[in-house]
Order: sequence, then structure tokens, then C-alpha cells
Amino acid sequence: MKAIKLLGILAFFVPFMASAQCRPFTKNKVLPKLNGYVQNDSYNAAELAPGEEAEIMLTFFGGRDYRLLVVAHPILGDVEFTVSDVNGKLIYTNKNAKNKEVFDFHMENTQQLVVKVKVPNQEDAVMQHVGCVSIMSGFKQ
Amino acid sequence: MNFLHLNTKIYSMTKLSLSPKGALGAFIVALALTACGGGNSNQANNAPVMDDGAHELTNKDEFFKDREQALKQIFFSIPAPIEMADMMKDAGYVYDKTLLNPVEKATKYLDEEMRSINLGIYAADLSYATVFDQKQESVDYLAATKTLAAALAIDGAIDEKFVQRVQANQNNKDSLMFYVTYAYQNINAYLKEGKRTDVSALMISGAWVESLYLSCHYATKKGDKQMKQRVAEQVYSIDHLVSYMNLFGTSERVNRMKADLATLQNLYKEVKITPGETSVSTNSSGVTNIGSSTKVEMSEATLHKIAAEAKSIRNKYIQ
Repeated sequence: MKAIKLLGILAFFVPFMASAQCRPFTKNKVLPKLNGYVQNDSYNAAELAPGEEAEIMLTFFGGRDYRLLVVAHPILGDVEFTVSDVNGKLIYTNKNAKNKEVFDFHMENTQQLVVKVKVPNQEDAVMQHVGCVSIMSGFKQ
Repeated sequence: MNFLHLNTKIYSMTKLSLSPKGALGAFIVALALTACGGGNSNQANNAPVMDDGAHELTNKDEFFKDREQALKQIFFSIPAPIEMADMMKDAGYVYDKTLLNPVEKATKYLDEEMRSINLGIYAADLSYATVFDQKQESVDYLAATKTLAAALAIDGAIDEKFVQRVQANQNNKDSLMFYVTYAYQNINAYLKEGKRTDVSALMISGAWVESLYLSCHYATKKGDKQMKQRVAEQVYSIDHLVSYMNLFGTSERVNRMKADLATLQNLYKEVKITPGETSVSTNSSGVTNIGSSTKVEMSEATLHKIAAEAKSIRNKYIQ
């Protein structure tokens, strides 16, 4: 009987265990969008919930061209992201951008930039969902 | 298959009196459906497709537990070693195999601390060999990286098939660059998602120290200006890295690396930063230009002190 209960519990949790990772999402949905650039950071992806915010500081070197990607699972809706300098000066927002996931730019001088990601609230939703958000950058050779 | 739909069904089944065969069947079905990655059979009702990368938030207490700390540990980045290697090549320097940690040592690192740090060191050496188009050495350093990844029980990040693909593509530099950066990212992914962020932090530190050591080798050559400036600009990374290491409490292995990084951070205090303004413009091709009047300057004496310390730290860890 104990074995039956254990199998029942495992059967219930297996889908959650499998979907608790963002590696496949990053590999399949994000990495291809970096085509033509060499990825230059480590792994920055996690499941975020509605209303949550995440922040990351990235260093970009002068004289180089970069692509910054912020890709979120569609279940999260229109995820906003901004790029600011370390003093909070806004450099970019994807709010009115045609491509909401990609920011291509040229760095004239080396500096650190702060990327802030905000997942919209889903207060009216009957059930809340979490989804992967992946932040990735690459340089052009 | 919609995860939500599947979960509801399985939950209902667990409430029933299942026979042993029925319970086993439910488990196998769940495994099979999960392995298939979900699919998109619910497009008919226009519901969002619940494939890889999303699921219903069922346990809020668990999800939001220590959330701020968890997100800080995940969302952290300093430039990957491949970019520093690329800048060495850009500066016109020549590959020097004698600078690298010999691959034969990979099996000699016996504890998790040394394995993590040397995994980073080998990742930096692998990036260096690949950027300088050293095909056989790239494969050799990938094998050394794989050895340490397996010893750290993250062999799924670089499996045998992956190594074979790299070997098959070793004459295509673009493919090789892709595989090397993917391996670095995937190792970090396995560690972060396995809640071994401290191991990831040690690995990133090892990779950064090795990249700094290699950069300093070129920057200290007479007449060099380009790499010297790149070494000075690491002032941003060292502060960022030390702050990151502080998130991991006071375990001995983290403390040792923190102490070494703190020594470098002290030397980097001699690097002069003159704050300026950030400027943003758009060029004729529509690309955003980000400029800054901030100046980063470093004396020759400071460069040599940083070079000596970086060498001393990496030599201590590669023994």
C-alpha cells in the first residue's frame, strides 16, 4: 500500500519536477536568437511569477557590439525590461520597441549596465502561472 | 498535453483507490508525457501552451521562500572567459600553450573546492585555445573540462555525444566557439538549477582569475596599451565578484576564494576611476551607441602588482 501511495505522489509531482528548470527553454527559445553573436555570460534564467522583478548587472567592453536578449515564456504576458547605467540613467526600455526581446547596441566605453525585468501582474487570473525568463548577452566578433 | 490538464487528472487518480498496476501505469504515463515535452494539443481552446518553461504556481510558500536571495544568486554575471580571450586575439597577440594549466592534472583534483575552481580555470583555457584556433588543444581542454564536470556530478552538462559533436566540428571555428560558450553556460545552468550556486560561484571565480592571469601576461609586455586598459577595466568585475561571493555565507571553501579575491580587490583600489556621464545616441544604421565620459586609469606599477597576485592565486589553485 505504501508503494502505491509513493507512486501516486511521484506521478503527481513528476511534471512539476521536470518543468522547474529553464535549461530547455533557454536552449530552444533563447539561444537561437543570439545567432551571429558569441555568448559572453554565464547562465541567467529562472522561473518568475506574475508581479515579480529581477535585476542583473552586466559589464560591456568599449569598442564592441553587443546583443542583449530578455526572453520570457508567453504565459507571463508582456514582460518589460529596462537598461540603465549604474546611476539609474535610463538607456533603453522595450516598452514601445518593435522587437520586445532584443536590444542591439554598440559600446563606446567600458561600463556596467543594469538590466531590470518586470513581469506584469495577473490579478484577474483564476490560476497563476510561473514561467521562465532568460537574460542573455553576446558580442559580435 | 496541457500540464494543467494532466496534473488535474493525475491528482484525481491519486484520490482513487488505485491498484498497484494502476499506480505504476499513472507514473509511467506521467514520465512519458513529461519526457515528450508537453506538446500543444490544447491549441483548440486557445489556452496558453504549457510546454517547457512554464507551469501553474501551486505552492506559493515554497516558491517565494528566500526568494530575494535566490534570485540574487541566480541573476549574476561577469564577462565569460571567451570575451577576454577574444580581446587578447584582437590586440594581435600570439597563442602560448605554456601559459595554460596542463590537461593531465584534471584527474588530480580530489575535493569539490579544487574541482570547481579548476573547472573554471580549464573553461578559461579552453576559451583561449578555441579563440586562437588551436583545434586539437580545444578538444583536449574540453575533455579536461568534461572530466571535472563528471567529478562534480554534472556530467549531463557535457556528455560524450557533446564531445563527439565538438570533435566532428573542430575544423569549423564558428561551431567550435558556439560549443565552447554553450558548454560554459550549460555547466552553470546545471549548477544553478541544482541549487549549487556556491559551486558555480567558485567556478566563475576560477575562470575569472585565469582570464586575468592570461590578460596580465600580455598586458605587462613592453609597449602594450590595449590589454593594460582591459586589465584596468576588470575593476568593475572584481567588485561585482566579491559582492557575489558574499552571498554564500562563511563556508571555508568560499572564504578561501573570498580572501584571495579581496587581495586583488585591494590592489584594484589603486585603479583610478573618474566618474563621468553616460551618453546615448543612434548612429546612421539605427544602432544605439552607448558612451561614457568615465575614465579608468592604472599605473604600470599597479598592473605589475595585479599581474603578480593573479599569477600567485592561480598557481596556488592549479597545484
